[in-house]
Amino acid sequence: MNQQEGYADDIVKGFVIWSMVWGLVAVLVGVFISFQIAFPQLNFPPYLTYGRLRPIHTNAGIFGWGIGSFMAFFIYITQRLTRTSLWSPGLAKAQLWLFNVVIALAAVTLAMGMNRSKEYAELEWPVASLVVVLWVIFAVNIVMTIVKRREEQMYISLWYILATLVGVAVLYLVNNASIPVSLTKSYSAYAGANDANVQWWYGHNAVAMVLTTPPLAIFYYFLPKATGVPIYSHRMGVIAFWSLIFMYLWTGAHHLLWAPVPDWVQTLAMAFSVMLIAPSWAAVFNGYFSMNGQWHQMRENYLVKFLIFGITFYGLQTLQGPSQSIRTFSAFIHFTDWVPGHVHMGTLGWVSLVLFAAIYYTIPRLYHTEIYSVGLANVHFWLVLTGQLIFSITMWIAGVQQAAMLNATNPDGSLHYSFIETMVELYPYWHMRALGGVIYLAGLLVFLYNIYQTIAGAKTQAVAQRA
Amino acid sequence: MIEKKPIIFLLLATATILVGTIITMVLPFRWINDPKLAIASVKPYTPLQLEGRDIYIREGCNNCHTQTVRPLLSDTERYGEYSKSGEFVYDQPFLWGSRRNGPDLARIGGKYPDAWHVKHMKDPRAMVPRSNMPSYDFLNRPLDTSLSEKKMKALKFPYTPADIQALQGKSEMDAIIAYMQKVGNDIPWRKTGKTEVLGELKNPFQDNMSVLPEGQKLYAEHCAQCHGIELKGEVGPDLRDMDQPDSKVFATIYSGIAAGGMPAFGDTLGKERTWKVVTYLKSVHKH
Amino acid sequence: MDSASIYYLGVTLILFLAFAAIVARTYSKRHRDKGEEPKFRMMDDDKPKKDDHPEN
Ligand code: HEC
Ligand code: HEC
Ligand code: HEM
Repeated sequence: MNQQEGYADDIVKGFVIWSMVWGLVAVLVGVFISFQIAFPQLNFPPYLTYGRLRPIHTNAGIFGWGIGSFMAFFIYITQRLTRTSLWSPGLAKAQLWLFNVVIALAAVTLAMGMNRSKEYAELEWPVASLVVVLWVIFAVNIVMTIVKRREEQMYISLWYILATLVGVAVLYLVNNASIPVSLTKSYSAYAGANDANVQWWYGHNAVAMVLTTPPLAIFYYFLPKATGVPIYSHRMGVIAFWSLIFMYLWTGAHHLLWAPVPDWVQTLAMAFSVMLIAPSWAAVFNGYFSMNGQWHQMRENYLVKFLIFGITFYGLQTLQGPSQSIRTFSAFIHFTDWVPGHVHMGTLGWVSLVLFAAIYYTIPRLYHTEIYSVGLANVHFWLVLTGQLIFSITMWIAGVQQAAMLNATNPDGSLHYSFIETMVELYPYWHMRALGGVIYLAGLLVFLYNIYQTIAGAKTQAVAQRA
Repeated sequence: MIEKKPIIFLLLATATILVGTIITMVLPFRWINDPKLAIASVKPYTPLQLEGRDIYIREGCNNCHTQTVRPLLSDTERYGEYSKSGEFVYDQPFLWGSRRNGPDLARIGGKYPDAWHVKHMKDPRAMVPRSNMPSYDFLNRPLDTSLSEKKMKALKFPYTPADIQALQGKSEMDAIIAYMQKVGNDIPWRKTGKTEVLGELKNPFQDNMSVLPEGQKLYAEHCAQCHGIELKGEVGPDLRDMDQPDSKVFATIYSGIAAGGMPAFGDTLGKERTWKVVTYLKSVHKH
Repeated sequence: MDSASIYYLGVTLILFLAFAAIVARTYSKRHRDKGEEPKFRMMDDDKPKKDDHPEN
């Protein structure tokens, strides 16, 4: 199992490859549902309707592509930052199997309509229980590796990794509490406004503990590796770390502004969301200042381009998010297409760009070769960037337009537009969004081809050397 | 030196995330769903309604529809009385949603007659030509009732053997419509919120032929789905050769006939456009 | 001011002091070099270390 360097890296390869498979599934389904919104004839009941496919898209994206590659890079990074090999490679192998079984089960059960309906916690209790087992296996392996480390001080990435491990565990267990009725059906253990408050405490901290802390761990590790220059300030990273994990947990109710949950919970969420700008931007500055004297690498080093654009989108995301948390602005854009615009700047712009860089960095090293084509990597970059910008920008415009129409009144005080009148105006934007999705998909295919050729090339090289 | 002691570090990190968790997530359990906020008229779901709710969840209707009306003009004027936490005490899970691809459904109960829903679920585009809601024709299949009683028990909802008996022969469509008709209808908001027509009711457009095209367009958009594009009647009655005075027709459209399933259009159309529709209606005859 | 606001103010103050303490500690002269050390050490991690115990 151990490679010549002594790190357990075969398992990293497995996780990277499978996460790419699930990433492709997520994007394919995403493009398909964007077409369903624009062309409703593309709904094929009962299994292939928008209502059943959307959760498959989000679950494949967040759990398959996101968590899958986080598992890969947590294992990769932790071994290196602790200068020791993985505590149990065998356990990690079992983890990869279980991971794939869980994601496949999730896709099948969701298509069949077994769905708890709570966003990002849709999986029915038997599948959710497997997720818990999976996470425990993973967490134990990482924590034990850190415990037996041969490097005394922990680099900031390890802090984020540890926080992710506990954070996800607490969130997932609480929000998945259910009253089972049968193997395929359960009810949430909480009712009404309580259920909503628990759900969005979970929902927003899925953003924190899945879409923020793991990519930050990966960013803090791979930026110095890619540029060859240490991160600007480790201590700033430390301050930002504690502030970030403290503040995030207060902000869930910014998803429930104007909803019937207590006002003070909403107000706290609003205040803490705005304060979150500080630790978020500390990471952004840390990235930018590390580039001091290195900006020429933006042109010369494609990895740096992915990483710096990624952290830039993170910066924009953490300015846009807090503004959405202000009651008056939320009143306007909440429930509109503005929000998917926000979501995809985060997932496509921030999370995925950082993951692409990490995969480009590690795959050639794991296979002892060079990347197949830097040119294709650049094509990949511009395609995914274009696709994502088209997506987000059209959705922001669509959201603002619909919000303005929904709020328009006649001189006598009655509303000027019915709901459907505001909705039919969105079709042109939905066509644009679908186009953005197709461009993004093309970029992703270029990426997968590049990685495939890199690995295939490495294998023929190895065979040639042996002969 | 916590940066050197991973276990202590883990405990500290856990404690850090628990502060906000306890204050904003655990503590509110003390205030939310407080008996003082309970609304006596809010009733648990019947077995049929609960099955309908489970179908709503299974089909992921909540991915396109919200179920919470915010206390904002554009919400309350469009959908009705704003939502109160006491209305949701029997909702496990809550279904407030996060995206309004379609309209909010928090006040859908009683808005349309059952026949409207049947037609709409079967083929939304037959009612609203540019809707992107999937068609749910396949729900016309027998309802699986094998878990119904267990579900009522799991949620501790009261039921009688007759309620369970009544599920016999029901389709999934019956169930989801029963659920739709219950949503948001447990507080008497329609009666209290009903728009009063005040002042003198005189048609400002009487015999004004120039408003007919607009009146016809408004009719096609808002009324044709129930009264038919040629006014011959479908879910609602035939509207040709109306012999009622303009003021009476105006009142019917503006305030609706709640008991008969005719929605109120005062909020959507306003006075001026309502008068235009009235003028159009009165201009259509059977030949 | 009622007792509740005094209580809230107190909690806010304690939180702020905790934050100030973390900043002061992290940026104190004594911790400066230690605090920045990991970022240099992480640049060289190609192979696991041979010895079984963390140094010092
Ligand atoms: C792809 C998004 C989408 C999904 C999924 C969806 N709907 Fe809709 N729904 C819409 C849109 C758009 C409208 C408005 C146009 C219309 O009436 O068809 C609508 C309208 C409605 C209305 C009429 C609301 C009103 O006030 O006029 C009801 C009732 C409804 N939907 C119920 C459902 C149910 C029940 C489901 C699940 C079985 C569902 N919808 C799934 C998009 C959706
Ligand atoms: C959801 C279906 C529905 C829609 C949409 C609808 N109606 Fe009706 N309408 C009905 C029903 C059902 C009745 C019968 C109510 C009763 O008599 O109890 C009715 C009754 C009426 C009546 C009274 C008829 C009579 O003979 O007394 C008028 C006038 C009328 N509607 C006009 C309109 C206009 C104008 C619109 C569009 C702005 C409209 N309706 C939209 C269902 C609908
Ligand atoms: C300071 C940081 C951030 C704040 C305060 C914030 C705030 C918000 C708010 C208020 C919403 C709800 C919008 C609405 O429904 O009206 C939202 C939605 C969302 N945000 Fe952010 N955001 C932040 C950063 C991020 C980041 C970095 C990501 C990474 C991908 C992200 C992903 C999402 C997702 C996935 C949703 C959709 C949730 C849903 O409705 O299903 N956010 N955010």
